[in-house]
Amino acid sequence: MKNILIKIFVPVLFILFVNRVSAAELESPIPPNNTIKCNEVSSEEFHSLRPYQKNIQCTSNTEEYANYCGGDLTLEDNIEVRYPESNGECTTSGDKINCTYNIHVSKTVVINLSGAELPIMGNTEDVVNSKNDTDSINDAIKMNEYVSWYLGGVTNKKEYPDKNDGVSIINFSGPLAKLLPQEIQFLERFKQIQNAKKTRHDQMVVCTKKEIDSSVIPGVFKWALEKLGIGQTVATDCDNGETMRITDWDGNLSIFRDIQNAGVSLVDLFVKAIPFVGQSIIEDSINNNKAWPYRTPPLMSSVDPNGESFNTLTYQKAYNEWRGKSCIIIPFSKFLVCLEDYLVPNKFADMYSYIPMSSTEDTKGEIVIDNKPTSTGTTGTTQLTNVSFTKLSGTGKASSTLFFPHMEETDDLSSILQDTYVPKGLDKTVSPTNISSEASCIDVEVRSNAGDNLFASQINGTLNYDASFSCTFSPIVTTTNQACLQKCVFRAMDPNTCKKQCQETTPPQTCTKTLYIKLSTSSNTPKVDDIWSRLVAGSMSVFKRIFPKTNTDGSVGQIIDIAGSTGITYSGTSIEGKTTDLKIPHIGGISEYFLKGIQTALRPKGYGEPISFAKISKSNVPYGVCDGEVFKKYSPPSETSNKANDYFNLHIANSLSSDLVAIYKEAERQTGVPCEVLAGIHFEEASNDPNFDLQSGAPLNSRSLIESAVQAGHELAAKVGGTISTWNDMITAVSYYNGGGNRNCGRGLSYTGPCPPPSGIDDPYATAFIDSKHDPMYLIYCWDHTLCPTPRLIARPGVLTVAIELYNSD
Amino acid sequence: MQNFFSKYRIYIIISVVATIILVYLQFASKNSNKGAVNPSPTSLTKNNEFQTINEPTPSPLVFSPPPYTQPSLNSQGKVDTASENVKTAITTKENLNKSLPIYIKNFKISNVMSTTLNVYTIPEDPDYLVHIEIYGIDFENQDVSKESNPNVVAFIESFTEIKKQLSDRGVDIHNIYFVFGQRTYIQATADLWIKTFGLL
Repeated sequence: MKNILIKIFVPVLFILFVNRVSAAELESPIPPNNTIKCNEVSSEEFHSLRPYQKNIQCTSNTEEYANYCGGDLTLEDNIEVRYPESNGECTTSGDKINCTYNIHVSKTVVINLSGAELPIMGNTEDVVNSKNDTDSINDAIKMNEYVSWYLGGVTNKKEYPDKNDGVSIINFSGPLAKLLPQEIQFLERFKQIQNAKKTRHDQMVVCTKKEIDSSVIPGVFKWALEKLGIGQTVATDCDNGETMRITDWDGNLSIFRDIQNAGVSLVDLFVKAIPFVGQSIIEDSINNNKAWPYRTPPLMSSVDPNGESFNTLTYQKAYNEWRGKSCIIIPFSKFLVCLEDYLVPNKFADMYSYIPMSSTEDTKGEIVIDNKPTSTGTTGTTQLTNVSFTKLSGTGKASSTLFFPHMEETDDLSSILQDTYVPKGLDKTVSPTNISSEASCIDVEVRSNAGDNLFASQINGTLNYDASFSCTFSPIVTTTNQACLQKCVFRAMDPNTCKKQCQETTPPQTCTKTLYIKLSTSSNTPKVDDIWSRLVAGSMSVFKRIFPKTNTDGSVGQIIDIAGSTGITYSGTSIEGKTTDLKIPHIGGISEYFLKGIQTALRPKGYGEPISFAKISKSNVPYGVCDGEVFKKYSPPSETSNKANDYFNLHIANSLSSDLVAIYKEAERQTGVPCEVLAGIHFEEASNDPNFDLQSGAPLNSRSLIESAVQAGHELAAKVGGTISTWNDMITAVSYYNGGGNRNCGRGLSYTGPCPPPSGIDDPYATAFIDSKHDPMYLIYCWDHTLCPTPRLIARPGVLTVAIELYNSD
Repeated sequence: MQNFFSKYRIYIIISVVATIILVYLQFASKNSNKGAVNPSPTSLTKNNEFQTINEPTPSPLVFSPPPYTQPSLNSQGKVDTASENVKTAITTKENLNKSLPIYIKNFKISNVMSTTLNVYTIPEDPDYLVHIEIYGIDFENQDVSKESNPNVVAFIESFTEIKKQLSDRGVDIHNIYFVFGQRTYIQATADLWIKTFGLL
């Protein structure tokens, strides 16, 4: 029996232990040392799409964050008071004592976070990686549900050396492999070689072995030859293969090729030294036969080994030589002959497609606890005031770092995808247009699936609050224990002494109050605004190539800005293990529209998943055109400078959607200030981003853009006494709108334009590039009250310059 | 052995020389990848480190709006419209509105400067708030010395004139809440000078 119990329980205990260890291991990044520098490597890497988990050594800490509200963390705290020991204000009421307490609590709280994952953007944990031998999700799910897998494809990955069959290439290689010309794919991979050890780790990209594909050679000889390094290089699993890293492509192909080229150079020198008839022809023939020496491929747009531009023939030669052949261009006939050269390895060409076209580094994000809780708990009559949760040192917000995978990668790949259609010079991350956003973040629609660990760590903070509450106690009573007294008297002791000995006083009473404090959180996610703009919401997005019209009559509806969501478990001081949710902005919309919506559009009707759109909202979007009727009354200059014109066409015109311009027009109608000027102010304050105001470029939050634009119109007119009568008044009003601190006259600068009057004529905020005299202009104060070390050249046109350009545009 | 070397001497010499050349070329090939391609430069660093060295980012401006710009808040974090101060400010502003805007151009200062004085409200303002603005002063310069910073003298005289203008209209400036324009740097400098010279 004992043996049976041992046989049953020991394995069970072992399994439980392993699970616990496994759970702990999952929280440990791979490689375990997450401070491996950018120019260092580890022999253990997790996955080719996330080789260094939780490592942000290569990425900048100045990435722009998108902030979004998250779930609440509820802390439970108990306050215990003892009567009569604790200080309270007590009054007697009948046979009860009522005590009121005002207690200040300040305590260090440690909140352990775990379980947070990044959904939708990628998944390297449920697939083959350094810990798993098998996929939990198949290739179709990878491509349909994850942006990283969709854009990069399943083929040409270290983990899948055998996915080079027709089905995988046709169905699972992704849009970039199909749309990008070979030249561009070569170039993007070359950029990663240049970036290795600088802005990205020198990761493993493929494992290789030698293989002889011949049925003639017996198996044992084949094995022996392969072990000697003879045969074709093929991709294989890393347990059985030799690793190749990105910088392995840095260098020359083969020493034999170098010797060959040295020989060609010597012959060339000899030919040059001895003049004879037909020398130039011979020289050309010799030069043309210098072989491609490098491990990276030749680019048609680049130069040959002689430093001359490629033509079709020389490029073909160089390409074949890169692939391991030796070629010769037969003089006069210009005929190319190539033969396999066994002294030149093919592996650099054969394996080149395994180099990723993007970074695969993690980037830093945060989960932040708001200083002031949005709601506090009261239990019974307990009141909480002055509740705050701050970081341990200082008064800033307490936060925990999150490590976001796939954000750099998908941003890079999305940008490359956009390059296939966006005209040169245009902004690919234009502000979102025609998007329906939730008014609050409570009960919002979200999307989620299994993703990669964000390695949320601890939040350490100081919780402060004042608690006011009352407790009721029984009065302290002293009684005589009769049984004791009897016993004492029975022992013939003095009755008075016995009375004293047998007195009993009511013991101290305790009163415990349980408090619940809700801390609201928000997430800071890097790069997600750009990815959202590139893939769905911007006017140059991929989604809008398929659905050009949204939120207009006859269109599919309005795009909804849907968040992604992941559960996050928290525990710690005064906290039992609980779960809340962490919301990540925009990625639900990326799943809905980029991953699923495009597929639904491409398929026959009835196929594909239904897509959610909001109703077309026109009621609070005014109609109007900035037609210049009001602006022309000020007799503005008829044109600006070439620089201003170019800048407007390249950087501003595309931001001015019809809806945005209609808002400026409505504000013009309500205030009398020309819509062109309001557009110029919005450009200066917020680059015409419809989510930010005209006052200082701050987020609109609960205000509408119309409200902000109308207020700006009122403020502008008020700067000159309430009415802008002339063009000079307009200049002065715009300058005063910004405070006038950077006016250029009288500063000893190279500015040679006009000086006041009117006031503001020399203020770049108002007039930069308005004509050739207003260029150059300078920024005097780079920060509030702080002069620039040297005055900085203004790079953007002023408000009125933009206004004139808009007035002159179609 | 000696016969062997003497017989094959030339071949040995060639082999040694070839080996030396091969070794040299091998090392050279690892290090050279010159000029093969010139792709478009990638942005290898997001922040300009040279700029950081030469232009260290100063501490952000920490400015708390002074008490004359906004009333105190109640326990819900909202303006206590029931407080006497707010009620007085609302009533004062209602009376003052009839006289607004007060707009005085080219107000002469005792030094060579001149300023423009502006007292106004806009529809979006809270019921208790008035704008007081003085143009022509460099509020970026926070020097409090009258001798070295003429803007200080200009501010003192301009603000004094504004108080007089309000007083002439039956308004005590202490009864209203006001702001010196939208930009934080203007408010911060104005508040510094007000406190330094006891102008309120």
